[in-house]
Amino acid sequence: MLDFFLWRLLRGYAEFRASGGFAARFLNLCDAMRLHVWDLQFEGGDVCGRVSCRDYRRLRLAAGKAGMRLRCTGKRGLPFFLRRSRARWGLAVGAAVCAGLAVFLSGFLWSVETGDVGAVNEQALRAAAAQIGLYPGAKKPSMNGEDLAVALRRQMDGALSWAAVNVRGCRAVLEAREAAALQTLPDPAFGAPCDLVADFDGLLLQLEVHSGEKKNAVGNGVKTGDLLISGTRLDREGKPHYYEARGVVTALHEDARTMETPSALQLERVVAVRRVPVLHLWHLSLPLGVFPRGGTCTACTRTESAVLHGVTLPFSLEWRTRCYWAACEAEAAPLAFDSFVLALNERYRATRVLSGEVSAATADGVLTLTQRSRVIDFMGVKRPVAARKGAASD
Amino acid sequence: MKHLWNRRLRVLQRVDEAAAIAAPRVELSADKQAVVEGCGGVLCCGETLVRLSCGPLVLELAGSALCLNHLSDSRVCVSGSLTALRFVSA
Repeated sequence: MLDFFLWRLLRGYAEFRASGGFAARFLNLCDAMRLHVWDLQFEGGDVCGRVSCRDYRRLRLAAGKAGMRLRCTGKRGLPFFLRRSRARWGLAVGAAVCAGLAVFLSGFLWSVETGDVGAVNEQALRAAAAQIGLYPGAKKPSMNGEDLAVALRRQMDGALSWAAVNVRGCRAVLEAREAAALQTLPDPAFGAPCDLVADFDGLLLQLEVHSGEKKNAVGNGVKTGDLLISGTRLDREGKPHYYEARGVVTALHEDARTMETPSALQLERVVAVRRVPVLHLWHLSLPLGVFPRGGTCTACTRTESAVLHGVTLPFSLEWRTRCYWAACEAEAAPLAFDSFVLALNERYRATRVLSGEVSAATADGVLTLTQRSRVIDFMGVKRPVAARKGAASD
Repeated sequence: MKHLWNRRLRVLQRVDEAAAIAAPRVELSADKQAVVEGCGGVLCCGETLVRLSCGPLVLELAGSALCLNHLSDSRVCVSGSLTALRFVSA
């Protein structure tokens, strides 16, 4: 459809109005004479339509045969435009200069952009690209993308495992991946000598020794600080050797958590949001509105820059937004309960909870949330052997 | 006998083909556009009514702001707000 429209514009067409006579006969004659007419409309007995320049003379003949009076109401298209603009030679020169400039400038890179570069430093990548001749304003590279990518990798001196340079029109898009770093394995050496001791009171349910000497048994009740696995082992001659005690210990215990918070919270709520656009033209900033004065507020800005084919133009619209706040009072219980439950979930992520209850009490404007539960939890905290030795010597 | 039967059948087939060629074919795009193929000519045209000759039938297209977008050999494209499409025996 658009092709038809452009073709008609290029060829030129006339708008006509045929009045009087026999409209139907006129149309049939047009059809019979194979005249190219379109957009025929009927206005109070008149026929209005469009016809190509070439067929207009023959259309007059058809109108005469049908007893209609034909009038040309308009001329459209390139031939008529050129005829009208014959005296305005500056227009043609301007168009030619513009076309020449476009052709000339399309031989240069207008922008160099970075696409998906992973963890590669963009500045370093751009600097390396500039070294191989990829920078805004440079002539379009004669090399193909593959050679450019190889050159870029060489320039980055092995820092890239993969690179691609895609020249799309007047833009060059760089994509790269960093070279994989050599993985360093963890040091296989053992850790510092230590014992494993109980970090809370409880009943031992599991005691599995990976390194060291077992010093307690399943079913025993232990208190905080009791030795579970010892990192000291005596040889046949009674000489002590120190290791890092390691193992898995689980114990049943009663756990209690409390959280205190003021029963009423002082909150702030948004009472108004105002947005003011600011127009930036080169270095000139024109605010297109004002903010109301007073009140506490927070501000944020969002800038919409005009970008043409990847090149940022020197004008933009900045939206300055201010949120005005006002103090208000709210009940703390729901919020406190939510945060308390979240904290409990975090605490018991690796714990099996057998039973539990949460209670709340308010006294003197303080809300106290208490949780008591019966849990099976991992037990054991490392205590350096040196500390035990020091304690023994004391 | 068989030969006679085949000849009659061929004649009937030719009649059917001829009827199919002469029969108008109308394609509607909602109530905005109608493309008529196999049209013999325009009998009457106006803002609200367009009558087209389609062999033994006359096709009437009624509506408002009707416009003949295209007019060529046996093909007419009518656009506008169509309200009725009717075949009338000539």
